Amino acid sequence: MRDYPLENRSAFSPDVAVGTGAAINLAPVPGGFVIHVLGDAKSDEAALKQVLAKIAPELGADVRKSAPNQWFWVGDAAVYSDRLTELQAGLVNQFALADQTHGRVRMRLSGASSRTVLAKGTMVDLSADLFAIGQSAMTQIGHIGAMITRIEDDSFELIVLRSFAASLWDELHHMAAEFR
Amino acid sequence: MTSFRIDGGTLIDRHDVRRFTFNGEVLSGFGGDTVASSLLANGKQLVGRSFKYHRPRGILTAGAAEPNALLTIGRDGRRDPNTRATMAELFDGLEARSQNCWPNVNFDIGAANGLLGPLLGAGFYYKTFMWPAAFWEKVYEPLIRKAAGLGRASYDPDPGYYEKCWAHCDLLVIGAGPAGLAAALTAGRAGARVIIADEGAQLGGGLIAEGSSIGSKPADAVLGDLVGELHALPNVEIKKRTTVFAAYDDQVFGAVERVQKHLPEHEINPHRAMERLWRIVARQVVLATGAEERPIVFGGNDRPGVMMAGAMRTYLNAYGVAPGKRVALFANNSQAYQTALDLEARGIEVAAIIDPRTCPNIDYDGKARLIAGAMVRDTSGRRAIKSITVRHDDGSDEVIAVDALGVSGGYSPIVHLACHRGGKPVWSDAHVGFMPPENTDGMTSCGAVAGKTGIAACFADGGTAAVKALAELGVMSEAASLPGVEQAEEKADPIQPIWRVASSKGKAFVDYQNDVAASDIMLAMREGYDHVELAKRYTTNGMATDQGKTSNVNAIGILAENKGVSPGEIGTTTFRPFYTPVSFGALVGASKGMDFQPVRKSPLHGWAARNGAKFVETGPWYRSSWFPKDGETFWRDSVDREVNTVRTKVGICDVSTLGKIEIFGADAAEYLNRVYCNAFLKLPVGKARYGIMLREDGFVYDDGTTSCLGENHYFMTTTTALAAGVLTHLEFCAQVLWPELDVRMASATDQWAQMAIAGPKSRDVLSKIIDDDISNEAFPFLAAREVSMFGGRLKGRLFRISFSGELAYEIAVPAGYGESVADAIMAVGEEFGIAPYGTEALGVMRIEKGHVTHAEINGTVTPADLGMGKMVSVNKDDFIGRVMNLREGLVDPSRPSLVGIMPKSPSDKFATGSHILNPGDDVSLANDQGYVTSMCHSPTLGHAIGLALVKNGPSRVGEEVVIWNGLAGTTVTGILCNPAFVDPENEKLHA
Repeated sequence: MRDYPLENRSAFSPDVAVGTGAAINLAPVPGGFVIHVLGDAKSDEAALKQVLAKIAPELGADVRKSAPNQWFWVGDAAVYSDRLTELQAGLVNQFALADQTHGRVRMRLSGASSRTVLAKGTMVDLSADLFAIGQSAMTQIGHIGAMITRIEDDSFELIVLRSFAASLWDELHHMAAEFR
Repeated sequence: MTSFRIDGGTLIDRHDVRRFTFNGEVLSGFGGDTVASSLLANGKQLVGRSFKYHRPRGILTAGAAEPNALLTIGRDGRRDPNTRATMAELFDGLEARSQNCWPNVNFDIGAANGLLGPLLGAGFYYKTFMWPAAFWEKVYEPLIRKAAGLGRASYDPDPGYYEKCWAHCDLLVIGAGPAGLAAALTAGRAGARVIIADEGAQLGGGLIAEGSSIGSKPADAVLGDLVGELHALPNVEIKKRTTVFAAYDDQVFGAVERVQKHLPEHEINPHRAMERLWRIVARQVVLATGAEERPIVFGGNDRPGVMMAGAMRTYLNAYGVAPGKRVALFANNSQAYQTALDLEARGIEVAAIIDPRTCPNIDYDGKARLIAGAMVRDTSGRRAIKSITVRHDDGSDEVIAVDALGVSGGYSPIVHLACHRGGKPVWSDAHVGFMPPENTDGMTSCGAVAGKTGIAACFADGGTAAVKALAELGVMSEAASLPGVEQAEEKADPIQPIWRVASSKGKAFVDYQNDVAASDIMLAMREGYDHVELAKRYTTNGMATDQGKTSNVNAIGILAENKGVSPGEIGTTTFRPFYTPVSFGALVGASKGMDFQPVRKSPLHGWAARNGAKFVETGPWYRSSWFPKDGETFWRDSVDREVNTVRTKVGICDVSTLGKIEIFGADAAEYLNRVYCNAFLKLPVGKARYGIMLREDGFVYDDGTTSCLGENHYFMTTTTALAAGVLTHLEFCAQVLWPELDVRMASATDQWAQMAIAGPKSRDVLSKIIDDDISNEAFPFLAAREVSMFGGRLKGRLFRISFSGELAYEIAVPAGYGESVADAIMAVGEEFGIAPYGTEALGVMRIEKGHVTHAEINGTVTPADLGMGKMVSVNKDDFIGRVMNLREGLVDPSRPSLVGIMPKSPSDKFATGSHILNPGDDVSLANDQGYVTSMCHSPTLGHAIGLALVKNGPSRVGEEVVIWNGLAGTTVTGILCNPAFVDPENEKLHA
């Protein structure tokens, strides 16, 4: 068998311009993992965090609620399929894991105007006193479904379906253009 | 030309001279001017022609309600028709044109309509253009539409950017007059999150026109202090030039912000919105929208130079523009007297104040002659007012020469937003107007809209309203007050309603924009259209862009007066969004052109593009439909080649867009067994099965394969079209129908890049990149499991399934690796003659094989109709659709069922959608036997083939039929046949 190069390609075209500026900055979050955790009816977030800390302390327990009894477990390390199988074995049946590392794309929007830009797309109130750091919301940005998580003061991480990622990127570029 | 610009004007900056054109004539105004104020300053009283009679019209108001002064502003793609001159801010280089006049506004041929006035009353069209009936659509309506109408929209694309935005607040204050400012200050000081929105370019509302002092300070200084404090409060968001146009459910308010419409083209930032459509979510709302001054209905009340008394005051005090040199006022209330005082203070002669009240209780101490108990009966003048005729209480007439007339018939609270959610306004005899409904959940009215008069009273009321609204949110606050002002006691000063001046001889207009006169309203009554909603539609009163802001209450008054009832008994027409016109640009936002809808791209999009794919939009997806090679100029050249390649060698097709759902849980097998009509309980690990999902009504919903990848882990595929619908259906079943089952599911469509590798050489190709044994024995038809690839460098999921009918596999790899894997497959497949194929070839091959898609699964077919009746389990206790699938009509053997069809003569062609008739029957749907659901040219067979749903289809194989294309009017002789044109024995699948 010939040694074919295997490249894990970004959902963004190679020439995508990272929007930088004092007021607004849009950048892809490369690498890492997104694992969809599907709990049973009795599962709760505290229990999930506890068990994740036990079976995979090196991956962190950044879990973001995506639906009732469902979370996106997100981290910056690489998790390959064998490791995923091990993790699933450690969780028994209460939580099922579906790898979404390739299916969901992360990008970060930051800067003083980030809330204003996002308000052009989402009806979620992202004001600092109502939407705390670490808080997530599953919503739509324009017509595209996305999860918004507040990472820092004026910094938000967006998780979007891979197939819509380039489209959302373009829309955010339009929305942010006046602040660049 | 006489200049009407005088001293003063709190809004204008005389150092900022702005040049503009009006109907081609170069004029100038100042920064801060509106187009209306600058036209008046240049002595332009005549600015447009009326809708029906083409009568000369001037500027009536100084605000949003303007019915007359509608201009076309801008050019090419930036041309905005029907722009209210009273709302458009003047900028350098602005181009304004009058509408509805030819050859020009001063000499308009259409004015001949005015001579026909007696014939053109309400209902004229309905009565006149009755016959011949066919003429209405072809002759009358096109002609009438051409003759009528206001501005014309541009056909050029608007180069401006538009967008939509959400905002949230504790308190939304609508209107920034004294009441709104007080409410915003009250709430802002209390720390609440406040948005205050006003349609004007400046905050202030009624304060802007206030020429006198408030307490010890000039009004504009007081306003400056208030606005300054609001700006300094970080929790207060000020939205100027923002019209709140609608109140929706759940306290969501629609607003449009004119962000850059007031700027000359060279100052427009192309990255900033021209207009922004806001959806404002407010926990509480203070409605401080003010009141609209009402015209009075008398003869010639539409003549240029006739203006609302309050508007005169605004032009005088805010813009330094005199309405005329010798002015009269006609008013039934005392507020209008302030206009007289302000005019006199600027040295403008007030010839007379005509007040229909015999003993008005007023403080007026000016020089003007007060004519009490009298009314203005008529006006004269060709293109502008020259004189008024006053009817005294003794019945005598007196002509007074004037060049402007201020009118005030009372005030109509601007209740629209309080009524958009269904509330009905309430008539008040005391206020002679319709007041906001009493029960407006989460909305508090204050100031003039609540019937308050005077700056101090409105300010105090605004503060009180905010305190009340905040208390609902549990926030304590203290009402803001105007420093140094004690609220005067309100003086008894009743308004005497005048709905029309009965002694008028000339046309007395109720609705200026639609040319509806008092006589039209009374004609409607005589003809039985006396209900307010009927009268509106019969006369068109209250329609068009101004929606009757200056006319509705007068029309209701006339109806009431003539029926001898209170206006409250007549009631209003229904208030609906939009309060004022909103541009299509704002409503569309950024969703235009290529941004009309999001684009969804497969992880193999780049690979397909590099291989020359032609893409087709499939919902939001862009799918590769064929891959032309050099020399192929027609799409079928490529498609035929792709099909032949797959049938004889091997092809690769992107099928990543199919829906993919991961299903987990201890009860997943039982769950699948219930959602599919065929058995799934015993599907072994490592196997895929084709499944059919029914709806509750027994018809087929969707089909696809589901594979068992491990104990309690399944992987379902759906059609591309129904990926989201199936997941929704599955969630409903799991959450609502069978919550006791342990089953959980996640969409994995985007996680996997999935490729079909089809053709007799497909195994040879895949064996070169897959480490595991995939021989027929080790990996038979319908095998499905994870495989190691590229020497253990990648894991993928391999399925031995076939849509083409060939020996075929689908390989799924994590999406990011999709392009690399597809490239590798193309490289290893080169020696086998591999070619990429698209959805067109995919479609041809599935028809050749007799496989169905949603062309056949059209919502009216059962599994039996598709030849899959035996798949429906008779052993399972239950599954969705089981009972309804047994209905008499659904088991009728004569139902249209799937059958193949081909032309008797191989050179004949037919079209999808053609109907099937028995030979010899009349060509009519009465003899319909079914229809063609899919057709294509089969490169394998060399002629057209199709699938059809035909009565008793399978039992009629070999029968000759007529294929009738009713649209083209053609018939072709066809033969019904087995739908599997290729490999009916399925030998290839198992090879």
